[in-house]
Amino acid sequence: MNNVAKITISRDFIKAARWQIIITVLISGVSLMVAGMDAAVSAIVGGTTVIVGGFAGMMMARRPNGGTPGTILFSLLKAEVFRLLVIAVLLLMIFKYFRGLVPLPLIGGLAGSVLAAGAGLRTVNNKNDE
Amino acid sequence: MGNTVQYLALVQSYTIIGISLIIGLGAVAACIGISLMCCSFLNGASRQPELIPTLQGKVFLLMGLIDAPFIIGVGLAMMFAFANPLLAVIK
Repeated sequence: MNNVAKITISRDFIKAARWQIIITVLISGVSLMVAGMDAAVSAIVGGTTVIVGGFAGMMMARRPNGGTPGTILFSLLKAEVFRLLVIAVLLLMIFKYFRGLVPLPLIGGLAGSVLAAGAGLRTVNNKNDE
Repeated sequence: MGNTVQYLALVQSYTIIGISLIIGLGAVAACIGISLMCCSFLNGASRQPELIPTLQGKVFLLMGLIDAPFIIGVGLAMMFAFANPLLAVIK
């Protein structure tokens, strides 16, 4: 894998992560006003799960591969599987060990953060194509 | 007492069916979406190999977007598995 691909993936992830953090904080603020401190922490935990999973996937995708389309695709699929595994394990641990959990804000933070990952696509049509 | 246990068992069994459907159908949909995208990636990479680094970043982001409903479904399924709000009705 050359440096251009690494930089591209990192830049896309950083752009997406920025929006994910903003959306998570917004949902957490709304939860704080509506349902209290536990709900706000739950929303932050839900959003953080996705961000941590995305970071793990990005680190996996940045690892060296053969450079051919087939090997690149295989490494991207491996990164996606790793990302899903990290998210599932983190969610399992949260539901198992987090005592003050409020489920709905957690799902809200999770959903908002996952959907905000598409914001990284905003970089696609300008800087990436230069 | 007997009725309560029966209702609990009923709710739990239907919840398990619901969880299976949420995860299973979500996984099928994500698989179809990712396979279509990977097909397009291979097609584009073989036609224009110089675009591979750019396409790689897009594929990585789009995989996350395609998997979004599945991840939300997993979160919902875990909520129903560990903190089922439907069970609160039977007390």
